Amino acid sequence: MWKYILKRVAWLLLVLVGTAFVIFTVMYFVPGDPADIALPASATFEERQAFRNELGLNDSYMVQLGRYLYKTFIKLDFGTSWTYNVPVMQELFSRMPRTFMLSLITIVLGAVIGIPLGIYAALHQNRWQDHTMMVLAMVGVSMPEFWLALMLVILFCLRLQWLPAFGIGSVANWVLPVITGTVAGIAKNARQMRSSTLETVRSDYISTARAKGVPERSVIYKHMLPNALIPIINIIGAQFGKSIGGTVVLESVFTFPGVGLFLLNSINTRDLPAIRSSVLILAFFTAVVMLIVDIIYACIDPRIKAQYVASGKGRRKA
Amino acid sequence: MDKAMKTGRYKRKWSERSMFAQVMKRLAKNKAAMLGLILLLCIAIVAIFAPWIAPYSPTEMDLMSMYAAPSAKHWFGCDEVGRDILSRLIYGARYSLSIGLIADVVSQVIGVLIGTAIGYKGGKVDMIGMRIVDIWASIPSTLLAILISTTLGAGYVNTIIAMLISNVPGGIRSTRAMCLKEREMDYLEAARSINASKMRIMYKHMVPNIISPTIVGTTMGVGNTIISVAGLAYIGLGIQPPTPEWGAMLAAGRDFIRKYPHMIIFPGIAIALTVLSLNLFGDGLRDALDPKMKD
Amino acid sequence: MNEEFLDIQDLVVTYTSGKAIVHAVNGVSLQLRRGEILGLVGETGAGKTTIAKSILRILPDRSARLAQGKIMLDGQDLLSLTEKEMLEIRGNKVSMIFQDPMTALNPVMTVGGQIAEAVQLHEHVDLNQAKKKTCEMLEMVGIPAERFNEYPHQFSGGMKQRVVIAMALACNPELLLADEPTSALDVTIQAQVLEMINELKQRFNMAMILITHDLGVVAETCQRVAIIYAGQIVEIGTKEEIFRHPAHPYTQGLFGSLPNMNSGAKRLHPIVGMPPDPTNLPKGCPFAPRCPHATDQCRAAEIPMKTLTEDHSCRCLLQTEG
Repeated sequence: MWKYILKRVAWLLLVLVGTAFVIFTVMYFVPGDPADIALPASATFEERQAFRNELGLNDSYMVQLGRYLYKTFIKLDFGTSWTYNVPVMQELFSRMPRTFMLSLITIVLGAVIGIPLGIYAALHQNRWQDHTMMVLAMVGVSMPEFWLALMLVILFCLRLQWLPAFGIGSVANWVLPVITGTVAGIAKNARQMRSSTLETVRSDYISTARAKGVPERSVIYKHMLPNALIPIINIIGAQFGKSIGGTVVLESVFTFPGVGLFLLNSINTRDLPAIRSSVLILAFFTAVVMLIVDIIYACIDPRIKAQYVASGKGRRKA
Repeated sequence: MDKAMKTGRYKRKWSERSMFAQVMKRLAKNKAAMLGLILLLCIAIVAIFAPWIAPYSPTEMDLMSMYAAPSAKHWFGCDEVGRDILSRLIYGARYSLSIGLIADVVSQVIGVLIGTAIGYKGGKVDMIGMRIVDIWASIPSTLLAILISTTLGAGYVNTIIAMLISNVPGGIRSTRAMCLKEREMDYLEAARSINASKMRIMYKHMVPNIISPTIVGTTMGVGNTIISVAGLAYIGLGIQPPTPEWGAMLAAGRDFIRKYPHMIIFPGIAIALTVLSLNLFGDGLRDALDPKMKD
Repeated sequence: MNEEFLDIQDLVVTYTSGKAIVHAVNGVSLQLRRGEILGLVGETGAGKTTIAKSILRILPDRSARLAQGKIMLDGQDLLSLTEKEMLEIRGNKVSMIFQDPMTALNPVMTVGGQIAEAVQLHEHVDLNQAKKKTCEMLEMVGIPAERFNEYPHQFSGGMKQRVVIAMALACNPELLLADEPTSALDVTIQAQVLEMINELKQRFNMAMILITHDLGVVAETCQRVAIIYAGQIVEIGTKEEIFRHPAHPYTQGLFGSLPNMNSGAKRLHPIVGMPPDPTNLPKGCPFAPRCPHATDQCRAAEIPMKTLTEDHSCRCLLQTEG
């Protein structure tokens, strides 16, 4: 098992270098002269030239790429923001915890609420409970997240004035971003869990369990649930990536000072070092979460585990 | 012998047609799916015949009715320069539907072509291919779309390209996963045993078998793409105001949220309704193609 | 005939599928003595598995309805028991082996754990004793006890079926319902498994219903045979009677579609046509549409069961009561 984890971590680092390469290449073609962005309009031609030389912007693509990768991965230097003139790393360090917490709370709440609802719906298949929940879930997955956020702002912040519409600082600031992010997660998980449970209910091994006299409660919790949860775990991992992307837009709606908002502001000012690093750090966290999910997945499903834990025994299959 | 072969062929065709008919029959019985389909058709008709259906021009400004609230004259009200929101929504359906459809269908086709090739070949090709896809997909798709639109700049075609590039790795992954499963199946062994060519096995035998989940995936994917495109426009990338794209309308309306919420309520409902109809139809399609999931 | 261990009277089971009603079992009556093996033979979809599941009352409660009938086991009316009392019967007094060993085991539980679960449920012993019993059972079906902690995917099909059998026999059931225990297995493994079932049955003196569509399996193991068609028993009797004097045209058809090494016939005689649609059964004899001897009388009304000899009866107008 350790070998598997080690292999995955090594692979993760490699993927990150690849990711950095993709980010750098895509951003290399951003139109506009960085000197215009970073320097005031009054700067002279010589000042601009000096700026370019300092950043090595006159070098070839390969040299610039090499320098970028070297700085990012060997020296862990993310560069200096052109607009704020502070190290990007410092800015990201203060913002990342917020974004990460927001995503994490969203995912966890989505799972904790969505999964039981899905099981409940499946166990009441085709009754009114099931129908109501599935209609709601359908609406939930169909709404754009940022629009739901705007609607909640209109209702709770402007009309009812219960909650602040933007900023950070008090718990109240977290309420709406968390609710908005959670709705889609609940809806998705409920739908997935329902179909996964229904598939499991029909399995032969459930009949086997019933036939040997296992009481209905144990059939559900001991035999059905673990099997139905396996595909969900995978989906929750994939959701994290989506949620990170969604968070960027959500942060913009609530002016929630996380990495996403930083990224969007940097895009508006074409602040390349800031853009590259914020995307890289978001990709890094996504990859780490996916890795953790994969490891959990392998621990729970003996079939997957057997593929990785090379112990001869696991491969005995005729 | 000849006769037997003929009847064999006849029978196969008949059963194929009947399977299609069965799927359609099951689909027609599904009320939710039919509701989705009807909604979708309505939206499509509205988009196609926008000039005849829209009560006003989507770009004509009417300073007399700036910020007008919904009324009998302007059902959904007017925006900050007095353009009729309903008319803008009707024209906007063209952008959302066409971008969603083109970006998603094309990326699914690319995904199926590459995914099948990778999944069928296996071995080294699979390993290298999947590593590339892994890297490609390691940037969350929304972020990738944001990056690419930043580089390419705003616009209709650029938005489609951004959506394509960020959607393709998902398509390759899911196709490959299905292919790996199918590869173990006996019918491929049978095809190999009659010396069918690799191309033929891949695209004639394997693709039809993974096509139904792919169709379902595409239907649902169009909805997701529409939401992503609106999101891009909302944060100022992708399609820009004053184009009557729904996300761009939301972005423009955001500044007036305090006083004139109708400017953001209706575009959102338009997006949600379109995506809802796609999801309803996609769900129904999945149940119809895979009837064992029902009852 | 008081020594009946299992007595099913006039069992009717329907499934609802959408708006259609599937008539899966239509008035099945059969008796089984202790230690006897009855072969239940019929095509796929004839209602064999439904009968077995009805005895255990593990039909899907949403879609299936046990409309009518009586199932007496050892003088106990199974259909009037509470769910809780039923739990004591399942896996204990009556247990079942399912058709497909590949899917019959829970993929995320160790095989040992799955067997031990049955032992713990019914013998009220602690975990260690349950484990000990499980290991004994595994050894008995020819699996080394060290494999207790392995998962189903680590076993081959034949081994899995052995595990399923070990699980079914763990609590010494008095009645074993074996639903095509060998049809998913290779022929050589089939023989081994059948032999094992036979041997274990002798040792524990169980009664057994062997569900199959394979007459060869019946010939090797059963004492009595019931032929089932479209949810009805069309012929029932001792193996010898039925193999020597098949009375119902369907039974005759089944034998006609078997290759026979001894007869000089060059061609097999398949039964023409398809089984009737269970949502829309024909009036009268369900086999009439495929029967070469069918008359208008056959299609008019339900055919009663006729006793031909002491232990051989049949639902066919062609036969006269003996």
